[in-house]
Formats: sequence, structure tokens, C-alpha cells
Amino acid sequence: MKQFLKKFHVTKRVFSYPYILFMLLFVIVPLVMIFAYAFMDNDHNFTFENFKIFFTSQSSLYVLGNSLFVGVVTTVICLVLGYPVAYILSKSKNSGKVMVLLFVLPMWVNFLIRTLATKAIFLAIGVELGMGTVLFGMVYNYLPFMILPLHTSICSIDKSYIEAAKDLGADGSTVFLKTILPLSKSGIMSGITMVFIPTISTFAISQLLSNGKIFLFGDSIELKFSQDMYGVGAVMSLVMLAFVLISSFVMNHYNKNSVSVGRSLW
Amino acid sequence: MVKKIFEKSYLLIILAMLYAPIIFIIVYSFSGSSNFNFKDGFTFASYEAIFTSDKSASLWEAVGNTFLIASVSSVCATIMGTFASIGIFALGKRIRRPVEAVNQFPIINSEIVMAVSFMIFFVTCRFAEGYARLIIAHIAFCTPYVVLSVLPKLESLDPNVYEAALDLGANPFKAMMKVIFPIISPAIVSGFVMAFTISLDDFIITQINKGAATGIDTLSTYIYSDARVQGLEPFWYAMFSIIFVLVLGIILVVNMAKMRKQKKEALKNGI
Amino acid sequence: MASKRFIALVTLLVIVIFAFSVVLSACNNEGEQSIVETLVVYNWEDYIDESEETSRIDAFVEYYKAVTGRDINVVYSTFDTNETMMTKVLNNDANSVDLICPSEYAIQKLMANGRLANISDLVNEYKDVVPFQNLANGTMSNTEATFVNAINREFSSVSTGDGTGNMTDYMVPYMMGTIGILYNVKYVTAEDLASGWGMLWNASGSELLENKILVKDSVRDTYAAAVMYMREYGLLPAGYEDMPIADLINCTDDAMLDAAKNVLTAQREHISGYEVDFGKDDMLNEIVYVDLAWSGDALWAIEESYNEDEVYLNPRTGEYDNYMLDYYVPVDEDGNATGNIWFDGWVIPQNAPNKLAALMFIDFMNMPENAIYNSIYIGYTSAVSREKMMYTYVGTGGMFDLVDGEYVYSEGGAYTINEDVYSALVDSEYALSPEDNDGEYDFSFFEDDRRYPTETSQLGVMRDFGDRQKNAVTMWENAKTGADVPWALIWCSVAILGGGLIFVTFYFVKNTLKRKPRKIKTEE
Repeated sequence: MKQFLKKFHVTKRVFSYPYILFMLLFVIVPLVMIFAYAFMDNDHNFTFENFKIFFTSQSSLYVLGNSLFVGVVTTVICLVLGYPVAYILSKSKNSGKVMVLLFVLPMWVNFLIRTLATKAIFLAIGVELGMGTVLFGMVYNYLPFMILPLHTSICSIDKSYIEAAKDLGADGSTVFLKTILPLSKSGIMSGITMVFIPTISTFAISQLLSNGKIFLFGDSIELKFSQDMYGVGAVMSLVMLAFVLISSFVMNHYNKNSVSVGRSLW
Repeated sequence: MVKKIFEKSYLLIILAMLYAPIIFIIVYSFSGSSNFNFKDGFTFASYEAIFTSDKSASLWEAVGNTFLIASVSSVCATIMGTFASIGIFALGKRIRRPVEAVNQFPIINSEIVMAVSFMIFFVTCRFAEGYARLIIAHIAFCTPYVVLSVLPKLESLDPNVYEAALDLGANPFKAMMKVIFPIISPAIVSGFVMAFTISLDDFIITQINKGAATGIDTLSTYIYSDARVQGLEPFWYAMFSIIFVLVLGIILVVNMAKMRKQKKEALKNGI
Repeated sequence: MASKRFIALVTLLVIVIFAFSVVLSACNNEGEQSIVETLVVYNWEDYIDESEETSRIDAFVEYYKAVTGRDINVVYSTFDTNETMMTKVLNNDANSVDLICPSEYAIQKLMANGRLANISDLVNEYKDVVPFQNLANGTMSNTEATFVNAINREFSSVSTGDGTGNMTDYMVPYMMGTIGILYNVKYVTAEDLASGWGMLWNASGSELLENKILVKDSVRDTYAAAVMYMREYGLLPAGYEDMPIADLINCTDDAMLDAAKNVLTAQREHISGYEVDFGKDDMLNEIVYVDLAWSGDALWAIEESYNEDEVYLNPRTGEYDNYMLDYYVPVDEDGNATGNIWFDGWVIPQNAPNKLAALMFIDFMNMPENAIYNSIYIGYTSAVSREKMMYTYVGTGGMFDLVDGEYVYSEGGAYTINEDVYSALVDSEYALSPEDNDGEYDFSFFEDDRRYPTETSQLGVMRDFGDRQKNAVTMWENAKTGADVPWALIWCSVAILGGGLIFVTFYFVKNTLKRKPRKIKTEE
């Protein structure tokens, strides 16, 4: 029997082969192609020119820096606004499941619709479009991505730790700083990466909310590809990939299952 | 007490910020104009415009495309993802790790990089443009969600159940169909719903891969190209309101059902 | 146990086949249509009459059926910039396209890459298969004469990859236009207008206009505007001051790009933003008051801005009328319009699947009555000659001759008013019907100098930037990004990121070091 099971075990593996093949072909190969394009000029000759163009151009680096700035500010604002929300929700009855739903619900309306609506409101009340409106739009769009993992991790904190801390004489703020905050570290980390990566790479939000005056990394990548500068665009994609890999490393380190948290509403 | 009120009002403020645009849209969808005023009083003109505007043909075509692509790709993703999970579950640790890493990749990867990599791939391979491109791209970024939803369920599965079925004379195929599938089916369904909604919602990947000649627009790319040019015409307000109410309804129903089920189970366990 | 494996494999196969059949069935959605002949047109958005009553695409479908007896399905797809279109075509990503309508410099680039079919040759090839109305007499037979001259001057010998060719053999002009300034007469004064291209820099210092200006989110148009501005205000780099306009806007030397970058960066402080598409709408909704616009878009917006209940003083003409918006191409000291004149033409890709239908489409759109419908609907100036639009030649004899801008009435026939064209004008309220106009035909539509620039105007055609395009894009990105966020803040964010990363790595290393001995214990 055991042998049979083992055999079947072996056979069952076959089920994963089409998927593995599919992913190899449509996820890995395209990434390898980006890598290849980064070293090619328009006539498909090997060159380092693309790297030189990107890393020596003040404007490209400024765009990257600008995006990092927007990313950091958005993430910080999201964290500052989102942590109290997650904390308050986790204290309420039934971990505030219905309330969490309320906070995540807007995420299920297409982000373009919401962004265009925000723009319409800004125009109606006469707010000048610029960095401020872009930051607002980013926070508005990505706040739920911060609240969800924070809420999950705060909820999973064993209540007895908090009680123990209180029993040992810690006051409210000490309990928070020394117990809750460190124990929700994994939530903070996945929240940060989940807000930061899309913020620096998104295109459209910054364009729509600043009339194109704020130009971020995602917009720049898109511009490069639409201007037939595949090589430079590929180099920029690689830079973006580096950020993604670092953040995925961080995220995996802190929380194995957090990747699915963002959409785990269902 | 004061603290409680403070907490409540904080939540309310954040909620207000999140919902302000949506509420604005819904309220002004009844004004029949796009300039945030009720000059014409309360009217359904915007809703009628969805069907009568000179853009309604393209609008409905976009809606059709959106659902076609989402349903085809999510069905494929669910089938492939479910079997892949069973397969991955059976893989040895050494192979399983990299496979899971690859599976995670489309989820953590930034959308623009995904979109661009698909485009480069399709262009280099001279892949025929049209629905096929979009559907393959959508399958590629939806399947990981199905796997992520099914795999944990498989892991929590009691291996004895399967063996028991075999002991009782079922062949492995039958055991799979009759025992394992029913148990993991909730995970499959939630994986499917996730894949479907993600595909429905996608903008960046569709926008960059929709191709030149076929002119396929999904709802999000159509919004982008049209609303950006003309501003939000009244019919968009109506359309957005309908979408929001639909989404709200579906999510409420699904979650209500889930909660009721949990309650029932809790009751049962209690007895 | 081989049978078990077999079963598993069969299930697998079934699943894979099922999955792919679903994909294929989805793709075959178009399968039904492919029985009917298709023509894939790749054009600018809103660049053809698509109205319900007078859709030129529907009219073409009927025409095609009448001539060939076959049904045709026209797939009309759009691009938003020449660059998007060219990237697709040059990377073989638009192989099903039969007909494209690029701008002049894009045509030049596509020609140089050997992507375009020679239309003159194609016409000869198909001349006996179907009757062509205009193409049979040459690709330019219907085109405004002054315009043909301009094309011949700039593009008479263009590289075709393996030689040179005349662009007129590869392209049939469709629309043309200028770039200029669309402005709101309520907020713009005569003094602002006098600042010429400087209006886009708010050179007159008007408080009303500050941050109420939009410019094009496109390298070439904005560059042309920047060059014209530098020329007006003496900001051109040394050695370029005396260059004629036609050369100036095509010059992409480092010195010029650098100077342009500086003025465009300075411009960023005065404007509301960059657009390629929503400018018209923002102008009509009075969100902005000045917009760098293409003439057709501008004329379309002006028509839309007609307000029966209000009269406005137009600072350009000094007269009162009902239009809130107006369009103006800044003039030089002699009163001649300065800037860029451009045209878009129909081209057929080398590997187009349905060249015959493409030719017939071009031929059809070149007929005066179709040209006028398209021109009225989209606002741009049709490249079809004004005379052909106004008059038809009835009777036998040669084609009409134009001598010194005047008609020579040929023997055997007579020129009469082109009633189709005139009634299209009357329908769109561009003209009164003769009954309401003392029996006179009013063709003032064709005399509007915003639509048809005067012959003495100093307008240059822009060629492809070639290898310098990359430099121009970089310059543009540079100018557009500005320097809102000081580098100090950027370094701060980088420091925060770096600090966080070091912190995480440190923790990771510490944890792995800590964990190791424990692991061994549990395994034992």
C-alpha cells in the first residue's frame, strides 16, 4: 500500500508540470528577455550603452529619486494613518471584521475610477494639482494595503502577552511600545513593502492627479517603451526588479503568507 | 469614554476620506450633469445616457471584453491552478521551493515590469495580437492567486482521509474526485473569485498589451482613454455608481454567507 | 501501476486541451468576422467622421460593396502618439494593419525603415481591377497645390532603406494643420496676445493666466514652441539667431536642446500641466485659459464654445462674437504666422494583408464630399484642394487647371458649385443655404486663415529627428520633471530606505546566527 501511495505521489507531481511549463514560458522567459534587452541596442547588438544612458543621466536619476521620495512619504503617511486604524479595529468586538471590510471595500472599485473621481473633486473645489494631490491620491489608493496586514498581525498577537506586560506593571504606552509594536513587526514590514512598491512603480495616478507635472519612475518606464527606447526601458525595469526582489526578501523573511494578504478579502 | 469617542471619530474621519470620492460620484450621478451641481434637479438622465449616449456602443463592447477576458482567464487559471497545487503539494522540497518562489513572483512583482515583460515577450515572439495575448497575460498573473488559495487548504488536509478512501476501495482517481475535491472546493471557489476580480480590475497590464490593430478595450482602458480626454461625462458617474453598488452587494452577500456558515459551525461545535 | 500513471496523464491532457480550447474559442470570437473581408485602419482617435448620420466608415462599407460586390468589416483602431504607433510597427507588432495615418516625420521614419508600400506602384497594379476616382491620376491629384509643393520641398528624396524615394509616392495626404495657441477670450488681453509664443510662458506676467496654461505632453510640439519662443525673445544660442524657421525647428544640436531645456524648465513654473488629450475639454470648462493646441482641435473647441446668450470681445480681431475660445498662431514682425505646419497622410505598410481595400479607402476619403465631412467633424483642415471641394467639373474634357491661383475653364465642360460639399457645410451651420443668403454661396469656411494659413506665413515642416530623438526625449524628460523636490529630501528618503534595509539585514543575520544551534538540537 505504502509503495502504491508513493507511486501515486510521484504521479500526482505530473499535475504541476503544465503550470510550471506555463510559468517558465510566460513569466520567467519574459523576465530573461528584459534582461537581454537591457544589453542590446536597437539593432540587437551587445552594448552597455543603455546602462550608461540611465546611470549618467541626471534626469533619469532625478525621476528615480523623486519616486523614492513619493514612495517613502506615502508609506510613512499610510503607516501613521493606518496603524491606529488597525489597532483600534483589532480591539473591537469580533476583531472588527465588518469594519475592516468597510475599509477595504473602496479597493474593489477600479483605481482609475476612484482617481478620476478624486481629480474631479479637486477641480471642483479648486485645489491646484501638483505634488500634494499626487500624495493624497497615493495614500488614498494604498491605505487599505497598509491596514490589512497590520490588522492581521495585531489580531494574531496573543492577548496574554499584553496582560502579562500589564501585570508586570507597564503602563498603557509602555505596553504599546514594548509589546504590541514589536509583535506587529511582521505586519508593519509587509504593509510597508505592499505600499512602497506599487507607489514607486505605478503609472497613471501621478499623471492624472498632477496633469503630468509629477513624473514618476513608472511613467518614465512607460515613456521609454513608447518612444522605442526598449534598451533603456529594460534597464529601468531591472532597477525596479531589484527593488521588488529586495522587498520580497524582506516580506518573506517576516511573514511567509503575507503576499496573499493584500487580496485576502474573500 | 473620551478615548472611545476619540477612537470612533478617528475611524470615521479615515472612512470619510476613503469614501468621499465614491459618495460624491453616487450623489451627483443623479444630477445629470458633470459639474457638481443640481441645476436640473434630481434626474436619472445619467443612467439613461449609459444606453443612449453615442458612446454606449463602445462602452458596452468594453464591458463585454472585460467580462470575456476575466471569465476565460479565471476559469483557465482556476483549473490550472488547482491541479498545479495538487502537483506542487506532491513535489519534493527541493523542487517545491523554487516553484513556490516563481508562483509568488507575479504577485509581488510591480505591475509595470510584468506588463513590459509580457509586451517584450509577445513582440519578440511575434505573437498574434488580440484576445490571446491578453488572456495569456491575465492567466499568468491570476493563477498564482488560485495556487496560493488552494495550496494551504491542501496542506491542512488530513492525509488519513485520502488513505481511508483508498482503503475503502476507491481508486486514486475516484478518491481524488470524491474526497479531496469536495474538501478543497471552498478554496478553489475563493481562488476563482479572486482570479476573476483581479483580472476584472487590471489596468496596467491590459493597457500595455492590448495591441495596436485589434483595438480591444476593457472597461479600465476605456475609462483611461475616454474619461481622460473628455473628462468625466455624466454617464460615467452613473456607470461608476452601478459598479460600486454591484461590488458592495457581492461582497456583502459573500461575507454574510461566510459569517453565517462560521456561526453555524461554531454552534455545531458547541453542541 | 502504469495504468494509474496513464490515467493521470490522460486527465492532465484533457485539462490542458480544455484550457486551450477555451482560450482558442475566445480568440475565435473574431473567427466569425474573418469570413468577411476585413480592413484594419490604424488611425488617431477621433480622426474620422464617426457620427451616426454621416459616418464615413459606414459610407465606405457601402461604397466598397457597391464597387466590388463584397462585404467588408472595417476595424478602426487608434493610437495616441506617433511614437506609440511607430514602436508597434517597427517591432512588427502591428502586422495585421492595412492602413496607417501617421504624421510627416513618422512617415519619413517608416519609409527609412522600409516599412511602407509604394502607393503609386500599387495603384498601377490595381488600376484595372477597380476604378479609382482620384488615385488613378496620381497620389497627389486631389491635394492642395501649395501643399504638394511643401512636401516636394522637404521630402522629395527620402531614404527608403535601400535607396531614396519621393514621399508623394508613398503617402496620400489626409489632414494638415498648424500648432498655435488656443485661448479664452474672457481672460486673455490684447497685451497677452502681443507676447506671441511667450504667452505659453506667461511672458506678459498676467495674474489671470498664471498656472492656467496647458502645453502638449509631446517632445516635438513643445520643442517647436520653445524654439519659436527663444527666437521671439532673443534667447537662441549664439550662431543660431539667423537660421530660418524651417531649419530652426529641425535643429537638434546640443546647444539648442540645452537652451530649450532651460526655457522649458522655466515654463514649468507658469503652467498647470502637460496634456495630449484633455486640453480641449479643460479649455471649454474654463479650468485653464491657454492651451498649446493643434489647429484642428482648436477649431473644434471654438465651435463647441459657441454661446448664444453671451457676446465676447475677441482681443485678436477687436470684434464681438459668441465664441468664448479663439485660436492664434503668433506672428513675426511682418505679420506672418510663425511656427510649425504639419500634415498626416495615409500610408500602407509593406506587409498589409488587404492592400486593395486600403487603396480604396484612401481613394474614398479623398473625394471632396467625404473630405468635407471628415474635416467638419474633426476640425482639421483637409489636404484635399479647396477648389475641388468648392467646385465640381461637369462634362467631358481634361481635369481642371489652376493657373496663378485662378481657374482656367476647360473646353467641353463647366465648373459648378459642389452641392454635396455645400450642403454638408449648411448642415453643420458653417454656411447659410443660398435661399437664406440672397442666392449667394458662402464659402467663407475655406477662407478662414486659422484653417488655411496664408501663403506668406513662416511655417516650417518638421522632419524626423533620427538618432537625435533620444537626446530630445531626454531633454524633454529633464524639463518636464523640473526640480520640485530638492535633492536634499531625495537623499533623505534614500537614507531612510538604506537605513531600513541595513536594519533588516542586520536582524536577518542575527536571527540566522541565533537559530542555527537550535536547529541542530531539534533535529537530533
